[in-house]
Amino acid sequence: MTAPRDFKYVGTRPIRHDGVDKVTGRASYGADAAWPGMLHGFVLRSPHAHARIVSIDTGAAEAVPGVHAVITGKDLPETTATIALGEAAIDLRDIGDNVLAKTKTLYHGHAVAAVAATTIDIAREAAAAIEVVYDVLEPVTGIDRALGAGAPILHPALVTKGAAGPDAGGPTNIASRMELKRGDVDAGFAEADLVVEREFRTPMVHQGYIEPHACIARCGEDGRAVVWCTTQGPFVVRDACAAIVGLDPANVKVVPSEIGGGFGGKIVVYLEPLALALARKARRPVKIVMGRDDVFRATGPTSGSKVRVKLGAKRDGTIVAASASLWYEAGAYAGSPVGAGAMCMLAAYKVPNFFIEAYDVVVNKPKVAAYRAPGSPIAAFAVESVVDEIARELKIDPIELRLMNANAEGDRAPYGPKYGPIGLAQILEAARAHPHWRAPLGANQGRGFAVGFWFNAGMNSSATVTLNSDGSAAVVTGNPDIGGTRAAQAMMAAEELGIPVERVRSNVGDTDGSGFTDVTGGSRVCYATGMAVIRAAEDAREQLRARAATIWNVSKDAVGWENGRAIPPAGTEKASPMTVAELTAKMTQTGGPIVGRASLYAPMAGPAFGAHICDLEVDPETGRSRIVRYTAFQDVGKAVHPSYVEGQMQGGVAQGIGWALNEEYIYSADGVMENAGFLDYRMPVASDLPMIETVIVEVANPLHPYGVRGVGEVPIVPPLAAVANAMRDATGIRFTELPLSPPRVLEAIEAAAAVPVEA
Amino acid sequence: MDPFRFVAAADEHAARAAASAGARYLAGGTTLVDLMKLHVERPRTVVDINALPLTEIAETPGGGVRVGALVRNSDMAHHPLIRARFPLLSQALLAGASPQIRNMATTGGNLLQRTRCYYFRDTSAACNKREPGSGCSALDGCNRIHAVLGTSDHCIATHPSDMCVALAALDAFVLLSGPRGSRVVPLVEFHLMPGDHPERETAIEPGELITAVDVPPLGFATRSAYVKVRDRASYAFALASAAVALDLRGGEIRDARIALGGVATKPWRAREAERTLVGRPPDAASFRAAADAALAGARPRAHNGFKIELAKRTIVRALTRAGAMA
Ligand SMILES: Cc1cc2nc3c(=O)[nH]c(=O)nc-3n(C[C@H](O)[C@H](O)[C@H](O)COP(=O)(O)OP(=O)(O)OC[C@H]3O[C@@H](n4cnc5c(N)ncnc54)[C@H](O)[C@@H]3O)c2cc1C
Ligand code: SF4
Repeated sequence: MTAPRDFKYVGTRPIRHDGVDKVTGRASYGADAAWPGMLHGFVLRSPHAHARIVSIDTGAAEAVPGVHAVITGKDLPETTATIALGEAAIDLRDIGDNVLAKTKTLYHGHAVAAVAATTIDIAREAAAAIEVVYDVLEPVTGIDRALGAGAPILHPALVTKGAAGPDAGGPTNIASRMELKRGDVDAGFAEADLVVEREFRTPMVHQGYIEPHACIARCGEDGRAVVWCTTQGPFVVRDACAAIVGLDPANVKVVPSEIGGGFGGKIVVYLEPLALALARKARRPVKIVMGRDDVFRATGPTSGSKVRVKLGAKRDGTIVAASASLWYEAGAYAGSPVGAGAMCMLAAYKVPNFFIEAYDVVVNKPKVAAYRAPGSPIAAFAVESVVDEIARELKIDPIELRLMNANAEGDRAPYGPKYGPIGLAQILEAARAHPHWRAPLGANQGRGFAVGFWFNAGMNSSATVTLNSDGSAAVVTGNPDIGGTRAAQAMMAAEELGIPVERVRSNVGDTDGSGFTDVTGGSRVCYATGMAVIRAAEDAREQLRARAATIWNVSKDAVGWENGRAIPPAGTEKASPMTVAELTAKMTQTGGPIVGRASLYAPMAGPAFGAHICDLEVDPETGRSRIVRYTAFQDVGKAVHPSYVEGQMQGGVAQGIGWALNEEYIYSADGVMENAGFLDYRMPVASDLPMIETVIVEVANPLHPYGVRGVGEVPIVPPLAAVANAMRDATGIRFTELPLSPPRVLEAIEAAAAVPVEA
Repeated sequence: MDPFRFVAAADEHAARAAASAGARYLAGGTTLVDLMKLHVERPRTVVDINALPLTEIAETPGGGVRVGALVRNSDMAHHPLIRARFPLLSQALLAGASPQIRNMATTGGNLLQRTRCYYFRDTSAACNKREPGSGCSALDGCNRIHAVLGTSDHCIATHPSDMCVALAALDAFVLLSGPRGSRVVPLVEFHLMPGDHPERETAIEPGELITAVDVPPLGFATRSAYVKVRDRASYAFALASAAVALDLRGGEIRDARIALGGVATKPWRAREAERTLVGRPPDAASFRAAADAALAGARPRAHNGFKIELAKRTIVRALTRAGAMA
């Protein structure tokens, strides 16, 4: 490990680089682009959750004056390609089918056709004139129905992948089954003094990013195409669009707009291939903007779930055995994050014996996409609730119990590798020492505690650092900035070059203007792309040293570098230290422009843990609860820009609280989402939340030169359980189903009151 | 949004002249434009009435207040006369929507806001209110937010307004001006029950313009409260709400006003409940009896049964709050 370093910029809180543009409305988001000759696209969506497409007649739509192109699934080629995406490969056949249904519609809102016309009203009117004949099928609206006897089958050809379960073979809605095991579970439970088993359920929930999906695309006669869109991964959009529409990726340029939130939901393509296919057919640019209801119904929320967990512990609190079964809804196509859930669920604990099975279940709901630490919050809700029960039963302080069982450096993670330095014990100790843990509670209040884990990702990143003749610098990477990464990257470049951070401009490049870079996701940008920026800045600095050597006529090795200045070797005549600006002023004479470059593949990242304390107050007459205090502790490795780190922690907590208390996809019996708007899909608003306190703990990640770990995903993992545990504390009731909405809580309180309490 | 003709009316006469069949007046636009985007409202003409001089709040003889139809909800809520004389009305307004919406929303628009029934707002669903005769998707659908009072076999949608609940408790009047002159309609008669014609929601006639709301004097309205129970702290409609006022003298309730929101198909005046209170002490037993009376006729559907007890507790809480006032 590198020795602790004295940072000049890293760890400070400069003004955000994107702030003024955003608050003044100058920043250009997905829907803000307009190109000459632009048409407007409208997507016709299935009114049925499950149906066979018998026929589509677009004749009447094409005849509407002002209509320039109509496409259906037949206009897109079949594709079998896949895109590697770190955590999961994207099956482009499914994505292509999801973008525009070919033979079946698999959820309410599934796209079946698209129209481009001179105005959006004409496009909508024309879409209404498209005649689609459906053979309506019974929808599979949840896990129980999907697995039940005689369940309708979404994909007749689907076979269960992975470790075969009891019901392998034959038509199925189980897309995959995975097992994780260690030791001897039966022996482990036999050894336990206390065994607690519970079954948990969570509904489908959405990331709820404020900016809806939007794009504009054009495609010339020469097959060259440009797509402007709001996305977390321009290179994914490029490759997916090329494959789905049938273009050469080399001919497709994707320009990412400013992005109004994604949280994992803006990695997959929805509108982009449609806009591109329409643009190709119409020979005009086509813009498509999604409405909020379509965002809910036809993008990628995260899974609804059923999770059964059983833990066995000794009287002293040692956890000796665990078993768990997880069923996650994948939505219409395979690919729920159930595997990640299974791998994360015991990550905090030394459990010698465990057996976990994880099922990926297809249902007639939108295909799920990534959502912040995909899979982990659901699993943590179950495990952390059961750990809380064990602490109660054994009368052990919940933090003590976790400390007692906590994994540490050198322990083998349940999902395989050995942990490097991890800050789990440190955050637990920080929580135990925090005044919040001891603060008195008021009437009808309860306190909950929970921990959470996320792997974090590394993957491919590229960066360039271009020096200007005035000594300023421009950083370009291929990662759309969601969480303040431009600021962090500028700070890292400033740190390496020794120039003020205000002198560094940080930019997001398009797919032609930046080296290949994986998505903004997996909490990888500040870590992996940050590392690329550091190396690119080092490269630029080395070039500056070489220029100084040229000027002083000495060897490069003899040139020192200190505080942003090249230092001449002792005794060099007439030479005095030169600043970056002095060196760049002479760039042309000393060899031309200076561009530092770096690209890398980071196979690993450095996992992270968070621990949360939640105080909640319940109104026993209405069942409504209020979070009265919340403190989040997290090992962030090294906080480059602490304000952004705190913001990420607070944001994750806010989303987790919404998931715990109010958010849910409400479906009718025929598979129609009933609350497809922010009024009825109840995310918390500012007045629902207290100021969320944050405690940053820094246990350096040896894989990163500054010790950085991913930050953005961990904080959404503990809140579901922290809130439920607080609810248990306040009401005496263990809730196993989310959300803890007022009617559900009230009903449980009444039911509990109706049961005579035994003395 | 469907294409429409836009007319900015300079005065009342011009507004009414432009308001042909299929026209809608545009006030704050927070209901109208929202529903136009959803293709639920498809006016052929939109008549902007914002230039009309209907923005005043004035005292009326005897201690009442007249509120112009274009007074913004936030201006009404913060007006000294409203706050001093009708605290329940101020509280009801502030319990609604969000600050941004209240800054746009008007008195007239609030009276005419439409239900938040999911199916009403979704043009692909059957809905008698939107499309008479098409059926009611809520009867056997997702009806957690729907009404338990004043429902019919054709519609169970709630009237969503908070302001109107307070106005119902206060026996307010709606002032209308139309092709056939001006008229005054008591607020409790302004909104209609769905019955066989859920598409007919109010007593307003085509082309008629709301000019003001009259809140008559009510001395004991200073002892009043509005309690709203909802799923989150703001930006949510009521699951149940109660507007109450108590005339308390000598340790006895002489008169009472109770109106309910979130549970009925129109702003719901609970007169029977009011009567049970008269002559009783302001205690828990009296309040509970009134609450039971208010919900006596409630008819739950599959998912909204919880509203009955919730509404009762809401009434009790509001009465308790009013009773405890100095
Ligand atoms: C997200 C959201 C949340 C909300 N939450 C709440 C809540 O919690 N509680 C609550 O009570 N309300 C709530 N509302 C509703 C809000 O109060 C109403 O939308 C608002 O009061 C309507 O007033 P407006 O002036 O904007 O009406 P507009 O939208 O301009 O008009 C509404 C209707 O009234 C007609 N109209 C308007 N003025 C006149 C007039 N003078 N004469 C004749 N016709 C007229 C219009 O033609 C139109 O049909 C919410 C609204 C939104 C969008
Ligand atoms: S309750 Fe009324 S508004 Fe809702 S669907 Fe039925 S008829 Fe329409």
